[in-house]
Parts: sequence; C-alpha cells; structure tokens
Amino acid sequence: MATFVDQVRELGLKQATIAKVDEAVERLTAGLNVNDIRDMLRGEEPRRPNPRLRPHADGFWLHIRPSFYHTEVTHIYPSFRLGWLSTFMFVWETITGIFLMVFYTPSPDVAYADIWNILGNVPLGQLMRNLHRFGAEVMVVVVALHMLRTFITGSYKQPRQFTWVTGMVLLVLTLILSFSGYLLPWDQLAYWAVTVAVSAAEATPGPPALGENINLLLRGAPVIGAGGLLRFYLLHVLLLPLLLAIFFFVHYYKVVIHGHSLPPGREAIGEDTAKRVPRDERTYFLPDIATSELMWSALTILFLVAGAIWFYNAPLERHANPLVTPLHVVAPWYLAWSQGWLKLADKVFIAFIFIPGLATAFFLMPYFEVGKSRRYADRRLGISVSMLFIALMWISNWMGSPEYLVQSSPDQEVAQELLPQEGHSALKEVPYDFLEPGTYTPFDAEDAPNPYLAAALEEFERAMQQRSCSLSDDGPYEPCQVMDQGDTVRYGNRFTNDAMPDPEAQLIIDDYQDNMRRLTLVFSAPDPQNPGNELYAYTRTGYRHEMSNYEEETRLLQ
Amino acid sequence: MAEAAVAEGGMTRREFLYYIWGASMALFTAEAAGLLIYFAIPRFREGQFGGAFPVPVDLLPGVNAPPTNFPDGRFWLVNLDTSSGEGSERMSPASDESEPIVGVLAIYKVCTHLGCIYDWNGANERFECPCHGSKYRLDGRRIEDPAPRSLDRFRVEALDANQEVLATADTAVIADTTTYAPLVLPDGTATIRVDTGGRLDGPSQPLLCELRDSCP
Repeated sequence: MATFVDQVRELGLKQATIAKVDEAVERLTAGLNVNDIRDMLRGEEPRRPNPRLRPHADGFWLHIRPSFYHTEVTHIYPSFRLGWLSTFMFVWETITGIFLMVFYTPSPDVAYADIWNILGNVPLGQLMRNLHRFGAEVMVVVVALHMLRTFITGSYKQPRQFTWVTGMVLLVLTLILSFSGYLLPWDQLAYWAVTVAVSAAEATPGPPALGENINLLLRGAPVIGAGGLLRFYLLHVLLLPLLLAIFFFVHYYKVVIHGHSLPPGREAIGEDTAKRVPRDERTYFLPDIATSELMWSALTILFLVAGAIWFYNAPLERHANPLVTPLHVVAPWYLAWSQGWLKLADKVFIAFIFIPGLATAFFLMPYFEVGKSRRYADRRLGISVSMLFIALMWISNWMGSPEYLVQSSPDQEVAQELLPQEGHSALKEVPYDFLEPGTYTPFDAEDAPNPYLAAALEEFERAMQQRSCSLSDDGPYEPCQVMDQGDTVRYGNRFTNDAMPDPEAQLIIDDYQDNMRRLTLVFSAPDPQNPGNELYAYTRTGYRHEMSNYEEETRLLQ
Repeated sequence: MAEAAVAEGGMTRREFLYYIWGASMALFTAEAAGLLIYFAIPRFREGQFGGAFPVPVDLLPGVNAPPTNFPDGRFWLVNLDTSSGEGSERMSPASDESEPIVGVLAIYKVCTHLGCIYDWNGANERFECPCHGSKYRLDGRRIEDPAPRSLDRFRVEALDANQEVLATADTAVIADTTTYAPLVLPDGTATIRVDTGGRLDGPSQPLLCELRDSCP
C-alpha cells in the first residue's frame, strides 16, 4: 500500500488529495464514493455491481432498512407513512425532551418554578415545551391511526400477527409515556390526573397488601410527593423510552422480515407477495426512499413547529395542591374514556377486568380474525365493528367530561364558568385596567363601561340563562319546570333539570388593596316553597393584581 | 456418539443437567426480581402521615350544620343528631337506619373511590367529588356511585379543660365493617382530639340514592 507521500509524488498534491477524500467518503458511507453519490443526485442508473446496496450490507445505520421497497407501498396509500411518523415522533420527543431536561429538576420544591422559568426566561423555552407537549399528543394520534390503518387494510393477518402484538405493546407504552410526563410540571392538572391513575392500582384484585404495595411503588410514599415525582420522572425519561426503543426494534425487524404488506386489492386473496418483488416494481432505498423520508421529516417539522407556535399551547395550571381537587378536573383527552368508564361502575371491574380484557382482545385480534382475505368487501363485519368501537370511544370520551355525572350545583357551575379554579374564562381575560369597580348583574352587558367587561358580562348572562329559570312568565329567564319529588321540589329549564329559580346574581368588582382588585360572584335564590330560606347562597372570590401580568399569561397559555 | 445410543424420548445426563441449571437460574432471577421490588418500596416512618389534632369545642359545627373543614389534618368535623329534627335536609335517617345517629365524627377528606379531595356543596347539601361524581351524606355515608364505600373515619377523643381524656369514640360494626361510631361529647368537654393516625375504613352500606330511588 502506497503511503500518501508516495501518492503525492505519483499524482501530484491535488489529485492525491481528491483520491484520499474519495476514499474517506467511501469508508464513511460504507460503500459509496463521491461519484456514486453524484450519480444518485443526477438520477442516473447505478454502476454494476450496484454500490447503493453496500451501505445496507456493510453499514450500521442502513443494515436494518430494506434495500428496496415494492413501488406499490411507497405511495401515500396504503401506509400513509404512519409507522414511519410514529418513529419520527419518538425521536422528536427524545430530542425536545432532552432540551427540557436541561432546565428541569424533578423536585416538588422547584419543578413548577422550573416550568415557569422555561416559559418566561429561557430563550425559545416556551416553544420547546410546546413542541414536546404537542409532539406527545401528535404521537398518540399517529400511533393510534397507524393501528387503525393496519387493522383496516388487514395487514396484521398471517404472517404478521406478531408484528401487531409488538405494535400493541408500543401503543400501550406510548400512552403510558405520554401520561407519565403529565406529572412533571407539578401543577394541579398533573397532580390529580396522576393521583387518580395511581389510586386505581390500589384496587388491584387479591389481598389488600398487594394493591397497597403497588400503589406505594408508584407513589414513592403514601401520597404523591418528592418520591413520586422522582419515580415518574425516571419512568418518563429512562425506563419507558428504553422499553419503547427495544420493542420498536423488535417491531421493525418483523416489518422488514415480512416486508411491507401490499394494498389489499393488489395481490390474490391468501397470497403474500411482499417479499417477492419483481425487478421492475422495485424502488430502491438509495436514493428514492431516503429522499422521500427527508422530505417527510421536513414537512413534519414544519407542521410541528407551526402548530406549536400558532395553534397549540401546552397548558399549565396552578401549583399542585394536595388539599384541593379542582372542580371539573379531567384526564388527558386520550384517556378521557377511562374517566368516563370509572364513573359508571366498580373500579376493580373497570380497571382490572374490563380495560385489561379489552386490551387482551386487541392483542389477540389477529389470531382470531383468520379469514384469508384482506379485502374490504370480505371484511364488512370486522370493519363495521371497528367503526362502532370508534363511535363508542367518542361517546366514552364525552362521558369523561365534567358534563357527565359530575355536574355541581348550578350556582357553582356558573361561578366555574366565570371564575374557574383552574384555566381561563371570559372574565379572567379582562385586562386589569378594564376591571372597572362596580356591581354588575348578568344583564348589564349593554351598559358595560368597556367592551372587555361587556364580553365577560355577556358570558355571565349566557351561563345564567342556562342554569336559571323564572317562576313567573315575565321573568328574565326561561320559565321553570317544577318537578315535585315528594320531599323535595326541583326546578328545571330547557337545558337542565337542576336550575336556580328566580336567582339574584351579581358580579362585584372592588379595589381590595392598592394594585389589587377583587372579583366576587354572589348568587342567591330564595326557596319558593319556604320563603325566608335560601335555596342557593354561594359566593366565589378571585383576585387580580395589576402586576400579575395575567393577560400576558393568558395569551401564553391559552 | 453417546446421544445416539439413548432411546428416543429419553433424556441424557447433559440435557438433564441443563434443565436443572436453567431451573436454578430461573429461580435466582425470580428471587432477584422480588428483591428489586422490595428495594423499590419506599421507606417512611410509621405514623409519619398521621397526628393528633386538637380542636377547641367551639369550632365544632352546630347540630346537623354544614361540616367544618380542617385541611391540615385532612378531615371534616361534623356534629350529628338525627333525632333532633334540625337540618333534616342535610342529615335524616335512611330507611335502613333505625337507631338515631348522634355524636361527633371526624371524616377523612379523601374520596374512597380514587383518592380525590371531595368538597361540601352547600346548595346540594352533600359532599361531592369532582373526579368521578361520588356523593356522600353529611355523616359520610355514600349517596351515589362510584364510591366503593362510605367515607373513612378518624378516632375522636373528648378532652376536658385539663387535657384529661373524658371519652373516646367506640367502634361499631356497620355492614360488616368496623368503623368509629359518632362520639357523644360528655359534659365538660373543652377540646376534641382527632387522631389521624387511627383511620378506619367506611362501611359499604347500600347507596342512599337506591333507597330513595333517586339514582341518576
């Protein structure tokens, strides 16, 4: 082997350097020299033997990727790129998550302040948090759609049943991963969602000590505190991503081994031709698939960044308070169905029989649906059942909302709409300077001193109209429907059967201190059956500081 | 070869030793997993999360009046007397309660369903949980699902002005569950002491809404 010095003597410095660079490129790419790469970029046919296959054989990064795909599966249909997108989202979450970890300490003393520091002080911190949180929700959607697509095209049928099983593991891990991140900001939203989820573990069937110890393992103490936060943090940043990565490789290996399934109509019933690709139907990974994946990466990043800037803001509620569960507390939307089901029946049945039973059915589905045909026309029953299931999940998600079975009394519900314990409202968004001190009724919107307050009062009137009724025909509210239930009399209107009869409601704004205004909502309604008795008497108070910058926060977090 | 001589289906010594070796490794792995779980169970001192909370008797709510909130001790204090007829909209005996319910109870603030903190709703005259909608009467008996049992109770003691214990809440068996009975305060009670280290589960009585036929 000639040394570089010998080559310089023989070829001259320039040619020798070019040859050396060429050699280095060929080593780095595990087989492609500069000319091979330029051939690809020019769209020319490869030389023989095809050097574009060598990175798959000799290189680490491409050895798990197929060197060519069936052209049929490179179109949007049938895969919609959802499996690839799931992988992309996992990488995306890892990267944005590591950046957030730089500014985060998993301790109840500082975690919440760390989030505000990320939001208000760290350059691009809010964007990074939004990207991570938005990415998490997109990942849940993408993974769920990927499963749905696989089911609808029948791609989980023989020989790909086990691929589906590993996919189910990945779906469950994705949900747990997303949920375990929920606790980390240490706000009310986080604290109570996780408290409920972990408490469900205590209902584990068997001896009580079993459930208690599972609960202790997760909480790190009898109640969630420093130990629990640290445990969830380690699950979120270490154990679950590691498990997910392992199962991802099992899953993807199976995908490559069996080949990407063709659209159901493209092969004869019962045949699987994914691994027998005729030469003229091959699309090679280099350069076509690689280029396409780069383009998809760019588009996905554009979507995520645009979404996180203009359309999505990660919520942040007040600091976790173990002594107060806020009214209208809800699970994250992708688990709202479980909150709905838990309202209905015994928690042991829901959490340890119904949901695991359903999950097991999903795991084993490909072993039960053994019909040879993947074609839609031959799977009408299965596809119809899956659509019904999706409808059931929509309804269950609605059942998870506060509207279902956890409505409070009408006075508190109106107060909740205007001065909610957590989150935003029309009244909370009135800027400090426009909170003109005075006493307002729900019907004062037209006479309001400024349009901000007018908007809030309109909301006040709307909320009162929904939950109030008038006993006389000329009252300001809907006429009352009186329901005599023996020992009690209830009042309803067109919207609800729990309405306040002839209520008085006021919003009082006063100067509480220098630079601080107090908002007070006062509700009262005398008992029509027993005058002198108050059927409703409720007051809710909120405070606003001139310097609290709440309008700014509202814009930040809305 | 030695294996070839073994009858079909028989086991060579080598194969047998492999099984024994594998079984011992499986056993060891199971033991190690058990130890890891044992390792991960948090350590905390017994009684770290309970304590004795003295409450002056004048902070006690009136008979069948709305409850008083003691967030530090995580309990509500209620003062019950179903024979008095006062506050019957909040506290009246159900059809399966023949004995009057009289005395003071300290009720644990945590919902028996999934650990949320329920709150007293003045308009509806009952405790309501914001998470899954369990409802409880003033004395903690469950009105509506999905709570698996009535609210848990803490031990209550009555102390005189010299901090001498005058009376301690008895336990009572309701619906096969041992829980604290309401404590009737003896004359001369100056302070009520609530021991949140001593908690007993609430009983799983029938839902009140079923007895009243008013379940949603």
